[in-house]
Amino acid sequence: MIEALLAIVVAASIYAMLSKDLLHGAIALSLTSVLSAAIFFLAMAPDVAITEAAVGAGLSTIVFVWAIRNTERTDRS
Amino acid sequence: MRRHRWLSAATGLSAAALALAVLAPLVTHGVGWPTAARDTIAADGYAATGATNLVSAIYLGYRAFDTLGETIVLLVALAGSMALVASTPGRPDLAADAAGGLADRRGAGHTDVINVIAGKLAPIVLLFGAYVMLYGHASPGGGFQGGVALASGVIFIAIGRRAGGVGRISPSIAAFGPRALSRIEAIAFASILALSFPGSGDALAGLIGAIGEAAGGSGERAATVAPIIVLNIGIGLKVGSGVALTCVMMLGGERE
Repeated sequence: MIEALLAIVVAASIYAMLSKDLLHGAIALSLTSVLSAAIFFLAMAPDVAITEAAVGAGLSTIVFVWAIRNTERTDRS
Repeated sequence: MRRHRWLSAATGLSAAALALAVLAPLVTHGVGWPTAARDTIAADGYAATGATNLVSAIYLGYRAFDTLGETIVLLVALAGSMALVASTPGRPDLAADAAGGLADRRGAGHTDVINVIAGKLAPIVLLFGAYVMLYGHASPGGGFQGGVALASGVIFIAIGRRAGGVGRISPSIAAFGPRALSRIEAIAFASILALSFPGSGDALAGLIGAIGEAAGGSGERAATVAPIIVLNIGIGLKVGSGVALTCVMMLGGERE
């Protein structure tokens, strides 16, 4: 179970790095945070899981989306 | 451009090799993990701090000054991002946000879907955050976790407010505006600092114990665990209002 989640985390992280659309990248990062929270919960660390879910999936996504909306949506390089 | 790509790939690979070289001996070598601190805390943690959740017992009972340092780091980080947000054009005016300042900004993003979902979720998330914050000594969670959950609730209110008011929560509630949030943060941080003075934890424990005895109980466990609960509440309010303040200002700062 944990291995499968880790594989999806790695895939989503690679997608977040390679994606030209920054909004898609931010959503992929948020997905990795949700899955990491699930992994922490399965590893019997509910305290860390709550933090990861709230900070990683919630607040940092808001910060990313705010930054993207105030700048440009696509990666120029 | 192509050369940069090769350069960054090489840098990343060498960083990974370095990390592996540092971490590999820990995993492959037969040396066991250090157990002295773990065993001491597992044996005495409950009696010494009164917290059933040993994670809380460690970071507020044994290492409260670490937590104080982390709170200060977070405060500095939030101050930096607030300075960035405040220098963005079209920011919300802190002084003008008396009643429903953000609610006037009804933009193209106004839909009933956002209204209903944010309105229904906000009270539940706020309640969950309050539970996680208040019961951090007994169940998973604590001040920081509860504070971030509280901040998510406030953000739901702000989102619904931007979309034109949230269900039963009146958009004119000033308690969730930037001004009130910054006051809550200042008060909570001051109380955490006050609790960090030597002896104040004992004084608080004595006070709660006396109240517990006056109420008819033994008051002993309440007295032991009281500083942890109060620190949890202080940290929760501080972190929650700080994070919520930044995000509310970001949400309000958009021109649509």
